[in-house]
Amino acid sequence: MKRNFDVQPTLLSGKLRIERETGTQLVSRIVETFTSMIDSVTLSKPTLEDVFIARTDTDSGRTVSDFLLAMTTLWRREMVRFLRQRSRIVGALGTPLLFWLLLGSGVGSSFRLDSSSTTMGYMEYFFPGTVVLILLFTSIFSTISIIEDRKEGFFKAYSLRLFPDRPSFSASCWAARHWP
Amino acid sequence: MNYLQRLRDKEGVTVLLTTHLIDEGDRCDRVLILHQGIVVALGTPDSLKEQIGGDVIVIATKEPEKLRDMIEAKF
Repeated sequence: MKRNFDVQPTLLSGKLRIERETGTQLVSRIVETFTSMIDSVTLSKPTLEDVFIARTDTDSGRTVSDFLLAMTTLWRREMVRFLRQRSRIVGALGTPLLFWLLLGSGVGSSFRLDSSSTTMGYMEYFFPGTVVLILLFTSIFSTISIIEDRKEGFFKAYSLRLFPDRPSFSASCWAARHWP
Repeated sequence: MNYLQRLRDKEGVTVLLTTHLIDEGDRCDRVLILHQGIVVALGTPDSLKEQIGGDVIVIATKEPEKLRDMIEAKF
């Protein structure tokens, strides 16, 4: 793979990059011609970052499937993490269920719905509330996992490095909101 | 990272490091770049840079698109 040394500036994170066999002449000509528009110019030998860019074509368009892949990957990661932490499962599912069973059976006998037409007991009445509690607990724990990601630097890593336009962030939020 | 460097230099331990930080890769003896599951580069950092060759000009400007088009038209 040989690089092509035409003057073809590429746009990379808001800056223009030009690759040249020898850059000195071109730099002075560009600076002379476009002085008023240029904030700064650097001329350097390639760094490992340049190697990386040249070899991987990092900035060449991200497609919808990339976005979906990022979403599902992060979603799966979030799921695996949830399922591997027993305390989280207990916290998310156990507490509301315990509430439901204890309160339901305790208060149930002294509870009667107003309308006489239904035979709904207190356990049934309380059940939707339990489901909401489960959702609430899991969403709180997912928020904590995002904070953990941030602490470890992983959040920054995936939101800035892999996906500059930040779909990863929304993926994580999406995963946080849609489980279970 | 410093600790890993010390392990390598003093204890002679082989360190296999995965990173997305380029400057960490720069300090390694040999670098392998994986792109979409395929090895796209392998060698010492210096040899990789030599393979690329040439100079790199980076221009910071407030209107990159406009300047790009103008440079393309001019040269």
